[in-house]
Amino acid sequence: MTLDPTPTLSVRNLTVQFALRHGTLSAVNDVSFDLWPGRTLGLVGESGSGKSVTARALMQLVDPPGNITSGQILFGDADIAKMPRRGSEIRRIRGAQIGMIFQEPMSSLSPVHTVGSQIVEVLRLHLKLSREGARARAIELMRLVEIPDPENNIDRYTFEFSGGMRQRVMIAIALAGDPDVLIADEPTTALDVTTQAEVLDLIKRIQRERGMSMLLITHDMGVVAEIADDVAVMYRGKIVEAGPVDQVFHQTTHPYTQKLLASVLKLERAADQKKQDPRPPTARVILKVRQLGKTFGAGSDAYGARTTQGVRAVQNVSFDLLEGESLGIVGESGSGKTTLGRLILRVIEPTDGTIEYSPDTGQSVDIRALNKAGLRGIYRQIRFVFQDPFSSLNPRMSVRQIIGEPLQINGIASGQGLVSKVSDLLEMVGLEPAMMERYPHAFSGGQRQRIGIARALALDPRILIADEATSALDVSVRSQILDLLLDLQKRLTLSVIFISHDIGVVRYFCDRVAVMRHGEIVEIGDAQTICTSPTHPYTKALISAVPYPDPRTPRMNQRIRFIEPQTQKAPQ
Amino acid sequence: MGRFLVKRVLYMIPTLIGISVICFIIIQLPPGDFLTSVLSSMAESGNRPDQASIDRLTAQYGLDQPIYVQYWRWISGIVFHGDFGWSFDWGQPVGHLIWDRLGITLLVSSLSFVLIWVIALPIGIYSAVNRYSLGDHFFTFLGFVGLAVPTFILALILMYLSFTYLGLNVGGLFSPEYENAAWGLAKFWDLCQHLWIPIVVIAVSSTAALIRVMRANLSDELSKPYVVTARAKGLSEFTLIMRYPVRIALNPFISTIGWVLPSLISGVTITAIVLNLPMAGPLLLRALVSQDMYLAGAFILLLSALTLVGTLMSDILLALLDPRIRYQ
Repeated sequence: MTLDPTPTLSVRNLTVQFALRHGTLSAVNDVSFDLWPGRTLGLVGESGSGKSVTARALMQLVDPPGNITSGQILFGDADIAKMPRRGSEIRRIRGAQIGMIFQEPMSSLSPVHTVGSQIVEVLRLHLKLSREGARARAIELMRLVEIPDPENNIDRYTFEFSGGMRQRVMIAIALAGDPDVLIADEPTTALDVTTQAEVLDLIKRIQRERGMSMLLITHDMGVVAEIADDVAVMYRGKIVEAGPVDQVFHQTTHPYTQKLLASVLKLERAADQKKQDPRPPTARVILKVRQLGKTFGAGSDAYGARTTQGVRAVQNVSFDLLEGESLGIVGESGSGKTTLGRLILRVIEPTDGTIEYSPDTGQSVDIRALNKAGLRGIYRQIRFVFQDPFSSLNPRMSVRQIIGEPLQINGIASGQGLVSKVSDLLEMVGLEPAMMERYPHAFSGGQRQRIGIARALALDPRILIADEATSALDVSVRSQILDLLLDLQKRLTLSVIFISHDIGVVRYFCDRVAVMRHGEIVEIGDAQTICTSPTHPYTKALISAVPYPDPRTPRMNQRIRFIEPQTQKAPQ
Repeated sequence: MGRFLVKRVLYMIPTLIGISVICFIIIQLPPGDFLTSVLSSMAESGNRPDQASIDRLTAQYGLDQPIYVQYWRWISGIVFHGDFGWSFDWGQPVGHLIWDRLGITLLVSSLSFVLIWVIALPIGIYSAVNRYSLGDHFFTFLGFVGLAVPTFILALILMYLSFTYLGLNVGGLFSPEYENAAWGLAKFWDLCQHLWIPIVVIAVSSTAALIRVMRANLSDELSKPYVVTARAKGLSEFTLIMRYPVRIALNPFISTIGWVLPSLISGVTITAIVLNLPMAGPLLLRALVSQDMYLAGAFILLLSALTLVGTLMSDILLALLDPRIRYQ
């Protein structure tokens, strides 16, 4: 490969510091890298590694109290690091010579301006196009990023677009000024895997065609392996390892990178525990769900007229959950998987079907027929673990109060008994009992999720419903939490319904998998079979869209697209 | 948009009916009616009316009828004939009394409202963008002073100052020589000289509240990702703040029309009394005290209707400004 002798952009010894109440924090510490024409540098790291701050520093977008304290960002003849944050110099570069794509396509675009006006703005500002010229060019750009029917869609608002389409608009904005450098900050993190694959394809193609330099910031090693030419691994504000993608993946030198790759690769197959100890399929069914369904909003408007058919969030879902089994429920956003989890406990009231719970002691109960008091009894035996470890714990309650609350409410323990029960639970999830007087903010994301699990286990439940329980966690922490759950499941003979969008996590953790789409289960079966040789075309498309963390076997190029059968068109 | 408008206007009808019922109940609430207060004042002056004339008056006003009949007479007169009834106290049709005063109330209130916006909007934006700066603290302090000073004190101070130092004749809306003069440039100028005091007095207290609303709204928006996106496009700081976060922060601000307008209309009573303004407040007060029920009822009804119109206006403006509302 021939390299252009001069890089488009060179970062030398860049340091970004945040002035905090107690001293300063170096979010980016002495970082150097180059962006070459036509090449993509993947900047990877876990949350808090400083990768996003680095990206923003390149455009002087770090807000106070953050500051570029030393180093250079050489771009052409200029040093961006020296430019004032609000000056006209940097403004001529922003959007014109360096374009940026942000993570959240929903919140990164204005909801009250049309898509077109947000693209046109850049064209008018930097290319000084006329109103008509800018509009024509914006339509061209929208066509380039494969937004269908750009002539009409240009006048629509972002909330009328799906996540993938919004991100395409974002890309069009970034490309509008015809930049030499494209910075993509977690461009596909908020998207579903199949959409992610499409958007990554698009970005990669455009970057190649235009010979742009790209800086791709991501936490996903799979995305890096598929897209990047070079990789820099960031850890605590420093680049610990950098080089061509193949070298970083296959001749890893730094221990952090090795650990990161190991935890990524670990999630590419079933847990070791599962292989050693394949659970004999117990015949006993603990939860039997039949024809479960939920239709939202099939109602009438204020005048009593029937307006909508309603949205069928979940329909005709049937499965059995065996004792001690973990059943994965995978699907993309909007597939109804979260609703399904809530229907089981009637947090959302089902509109159809039956849910039969059969504990090992006593009789089967029909959850749908229970009254409030009966339902409360079920809440003790079937418990939730939530997705967001930050918002699912009350910040004003100590860990003892959080974990002890269900015990107290149900009159199981109080006083000294409560304290000893809480410390048992904390030990069970691998936390120090001495930590129980602390408040949630003192814990990391992984620790908080352990607290959430301890709370769920406090009442000795028989079934856990874990809704995206590991999605908010970094990959290295993710496998720890999964291992903890596996271990607890074995010790307590728990049954787990594991809801996730992440195929890797499901394959690692689950015995069986149900694939959901448009509120229905399209395929259900053994986890390994579904993940390696699925039969339903949708499952095939889904599995093949997952980026594989090895640059030597890129998977997205061979991915299968699922063409929607016309008859199955989902109601909007 | 058309559907939205029609729907909103249709929703107003039951609300208006409800309001009219409540108005009527309110004016009926105090024990006795207008006749009893007339009779008692006549008795005080030793002038005892005979039973026949009492009965005649009672029948004439329908005071012996059940309450729903009285309500129907009242409301059907208003709706079908524009007849608001008879003011017992003034001996005139209510319609003759109220329109001038309502007009002036509306004029003063809307001018105050415009002044409030003109002051509060830029200061709110400045305070939000330069949070915790010296200027922000200064305006915050000023705002709280404005909020804390009672309007009638401010009115008195302004009257005193303008009388002593500017030599202006204050109080009322016109100088005596123009009171009954025909409209002309001179009279208009005279009106302007009088009008500024009530407008400023009324605006000051609400301004402080709206500065806080704008500051809080905009502060929330300033850190949103779409602002960073706009900055990454290379827009100048002023353009991007005005075009994006301010635009979105305006939504709650516009909703304030709904609650600022009624508070203006009802809140100016004290100011109007102090400044001797021919506005609705003092007349309403007097009508209530003397149990002049049709006059009081007409005022309450019209002011409530104005409040509804204010809410409608803010809803329409919101829909124009925010496509998310328009498309629901």
